[in-house]
Amino acid sequence: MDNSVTQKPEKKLTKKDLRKVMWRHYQLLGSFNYERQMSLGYAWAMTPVIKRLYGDNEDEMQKGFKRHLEFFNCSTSTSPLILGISCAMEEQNANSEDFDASSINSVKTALMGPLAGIGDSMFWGTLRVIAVGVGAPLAIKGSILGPILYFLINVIPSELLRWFGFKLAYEGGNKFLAEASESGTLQKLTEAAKILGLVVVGAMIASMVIIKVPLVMKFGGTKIGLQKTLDSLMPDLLPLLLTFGCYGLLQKKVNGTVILIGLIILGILAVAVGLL
Amino acid sequence: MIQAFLVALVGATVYMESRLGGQHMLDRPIIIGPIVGLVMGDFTTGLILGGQLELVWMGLVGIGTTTPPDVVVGSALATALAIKTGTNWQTTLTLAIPIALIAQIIAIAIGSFNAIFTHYADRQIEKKNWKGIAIGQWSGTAMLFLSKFVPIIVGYLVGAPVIKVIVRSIPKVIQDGLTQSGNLLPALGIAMLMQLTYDKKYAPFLFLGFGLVAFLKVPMIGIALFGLIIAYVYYQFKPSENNEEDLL
Repeated sequence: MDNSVTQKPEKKLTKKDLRKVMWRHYQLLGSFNYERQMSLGYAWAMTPVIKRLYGDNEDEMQKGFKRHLEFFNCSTSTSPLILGISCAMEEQNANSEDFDASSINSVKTALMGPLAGIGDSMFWGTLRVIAVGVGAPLAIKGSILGPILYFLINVIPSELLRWFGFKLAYEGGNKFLAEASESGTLQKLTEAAKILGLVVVGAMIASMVIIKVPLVMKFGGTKIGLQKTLDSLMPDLLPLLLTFGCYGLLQKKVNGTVILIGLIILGILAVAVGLL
Repeated sequence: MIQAFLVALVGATVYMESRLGGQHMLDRPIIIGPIVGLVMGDFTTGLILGGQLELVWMGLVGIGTTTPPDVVVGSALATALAIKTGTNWQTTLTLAIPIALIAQIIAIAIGSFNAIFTHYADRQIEKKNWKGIAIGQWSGTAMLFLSKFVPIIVGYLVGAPVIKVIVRSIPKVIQDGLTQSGNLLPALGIAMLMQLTYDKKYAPFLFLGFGLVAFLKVPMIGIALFGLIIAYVYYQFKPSENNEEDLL
């Protein structure tokens, strides 16, 4: 591996670029949908980074946007941690010829599920409940302190985590990547990230795609629930088949929008005939 | 009419906090109540109603792709109608529920429909039209804004009896079908992600994650732990390409 100084000037994100990403992260849910969820919001948040790093190369810019248009879903409060790492990795990718760009999405995928779990339980599950416990009784007594305290308890810890988390993830990510590429371990780490990412993708199939068949078949006097039969074969078999079905269609270059509309019709038809 | 407009504006704007403001859990009755009270000319009542509705509805939050009965529409309307008619919140809440139900169906439909804008952005990026990201993003936002604004203003203007008739006339097949479609759509999103990360060489790792959830119901944080261990083991036992000594 050649680590000698290259001719090209090093591409660097400015503080302003990074701040722009942070301001845009608030809009992660701005175009939320059930299919790719926060993907458009993520691409929106990464736009300043892509423009800064690949502004001089339209093909690289296109690849950058495509990367961040992929499926993304996390808790908004913990997403800055992932965005910070994405920024650091994009910077590395822009400067190093042999950086594996697909590792950017592997890392995103590996982190989004677990961080969503942590964010949801910390903010939805814990702080919000505390905030209601403190705020609602005060509001019922007619005190404006109720909503104010509710607001502060929800906003302050979350904001601290977002801004410090982003800074930490970007700077830590940068330092880590620089060291890893120098010692030649980046390649192995990339593969390790890919593995972790795939484990999370597999888990997402079983936890996010929900198919329960209510159909009950009668054989003579015995009733057999179809879902029960399927579960005894393998739980979440249908979500797995559906996901691989979609994957197969995509591999065959079937347009994503066609599959999308197909799935919506499938849902309604399946309910109409009693399959769902 | 102006009041109807203002109440809808308050509800939809507070809801926007969760879409554009970073989702600090502020689109809730305890925040909506007092502001609706303000535009209805009775801040204190709005405040008290907000607190009461918060306790009733605190269990209903949307996590992941499940869509709960619409809290934003329900609490904005229940508060506004209670102040307008001078009745208690229990009465207006039952009036607001059918509208919140319609709003819920709309929310699910929009959740599926908005995927169109991601595909629009895909096509624009394919054409190297970078503006596609912003246009797609803000079109989605506009739909989400309207999905709260319209039910609130219509609900306020036509009143509860008419709404009840409308709810009954929506075929159950369509209601349930849209919910089921929403449950199927993540399959496509995940499949698109797989196009980037999945290949046969690494297939077992995907099935490991799948199996851990399907058979053992391991939560996501547990998945991360197992994934990390597997990745670490792999990392330890695979020699570096240019330097064998890198092994710890």
